[in-house]
Amino acid sequence: MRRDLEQEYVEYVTARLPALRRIACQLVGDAHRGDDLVQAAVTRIYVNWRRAREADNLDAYVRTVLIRVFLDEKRRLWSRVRLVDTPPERVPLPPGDTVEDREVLRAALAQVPPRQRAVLVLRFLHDRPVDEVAETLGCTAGTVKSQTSQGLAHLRRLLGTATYAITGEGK
Amino acid sequence: MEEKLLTPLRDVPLPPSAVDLDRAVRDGRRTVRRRRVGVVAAAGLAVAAVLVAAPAILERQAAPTPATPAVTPTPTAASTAPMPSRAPAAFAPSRQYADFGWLPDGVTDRTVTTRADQLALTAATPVSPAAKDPGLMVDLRMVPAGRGIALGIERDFATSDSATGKAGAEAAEPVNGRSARWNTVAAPDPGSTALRWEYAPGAWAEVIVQRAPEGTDPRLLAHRIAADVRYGVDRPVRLPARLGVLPAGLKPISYQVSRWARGGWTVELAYSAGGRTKFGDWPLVVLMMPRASESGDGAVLGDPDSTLDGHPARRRTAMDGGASLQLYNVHGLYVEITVHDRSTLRAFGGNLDQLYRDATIYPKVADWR
Repeated sequence: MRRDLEQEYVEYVTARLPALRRIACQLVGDAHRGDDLVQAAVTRIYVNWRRAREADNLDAYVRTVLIRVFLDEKRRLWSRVRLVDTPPERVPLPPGDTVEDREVLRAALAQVPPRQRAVLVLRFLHDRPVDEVAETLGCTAGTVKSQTSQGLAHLRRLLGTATYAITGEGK
Repeated sequence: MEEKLLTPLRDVPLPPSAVDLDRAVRDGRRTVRRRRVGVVAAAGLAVAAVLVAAPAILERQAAPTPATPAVTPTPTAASTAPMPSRAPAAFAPSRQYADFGWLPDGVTDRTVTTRADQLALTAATPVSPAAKDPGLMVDLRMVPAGRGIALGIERDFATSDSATGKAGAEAAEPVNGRSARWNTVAAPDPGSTALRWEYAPGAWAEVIVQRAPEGTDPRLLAHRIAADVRYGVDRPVRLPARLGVLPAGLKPISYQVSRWARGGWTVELAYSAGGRTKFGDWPLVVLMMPRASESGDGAVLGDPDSTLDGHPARRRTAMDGGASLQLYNVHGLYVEITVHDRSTLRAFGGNLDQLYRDATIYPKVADWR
């Protein structure tokens, strides 16, 4: 890659790194694993920088690459998980805990299925509009809405409806 | 509102970044270089690979009964495999150039991943629901002549510079008389080790042992496994599907076949007319696995919303201009055909149904071709 393009890449990624790390951390529920995800994503972005920089919405492009790396990893794991036929463990919720308990919420979100989790993270933690999330995931806006609904329902089940009622579907 | 529910996660402070941008640039440069070389080499070297590999295969067949080399430190007496005098200039993605020889008991799960510029084999302990750790795993990584193996454990480990096979590693006892080095980057944990050796002039292989059983010296184990690797087996990778005629230019790029001793398998086939798409995917990817369910799993697999020839199906388009056709319970298999760019989809007439219809499926492993 030409030196000026490489410099442009470094400047762009450096500026976006905090946001990318935050998305990745929210997706995988762990800052260190999140950084691994970002590392893989920014390497992939470097390789394709020449074309990436021409994207109409470079930020959306980069988020898409990050989400794809995340879903690719989950898919690889999925095939092994199925072999042991073990249902995912539920998040143990200590009595008297509150929804503000970040760790409980983080653990619960980590157990929401990957695509639904990606939808929740992009829509509610990064305020991305439905249409953009649909493009990122390669699905329709209707699917994003249904994944949102299912993701929230899943989160509600994990957290316990009695304590943590959810009243709507968000914007 | 959900915004409020998730708000506690919105601005969580993060620890100092472990993302290494310099490393991303270095890895990215290597990949770019490798692809440039690969595109040029792939066209011309496929034929050369067969021609160059032939003497190695012949040599193996003509070799005398293997003898235990005095220099190989092994926990028990080991056989040694004949060493090739020359390595292929490229591997054929539809064939497996090498295989494990001796392996410790228990590592019965297998994965083979082929590409023109690298071959990866994995032997792993079956995953047990009761086990706390995954257990012993052995990887064999190989590159053809003139390539190197990255020190890290990235999936795309082939480098365009064969000198990387010598850098960043410490001296090890030779493997069947061939120069060898310990790679301390790929296996930094106790119970793990990585041994690389020049299996033919200018061509490198590496065994990575992870989670060696307690009381076992991983270096001794790696040495014994390395000494018994079989070269030039040149075995076709057997697959559960045979695709019909592909549009001009699309060729096999990578086959990945995983089989587990307890039953179950996954197969991922990648095709391309040259490089990857702008998002880094191979243009055509076919994924298959045994799964008789006719619905999604609520996680990775969505629910079907249509049918194709009586099979539940799900069709999606993507922002990259590609499309995916997902079929459920095709004689007990889940089949997913994905095209990752617009031009490839156009080459299929904008629809993947015919690609599926033209394919022959072999659900039983015994019938794979």
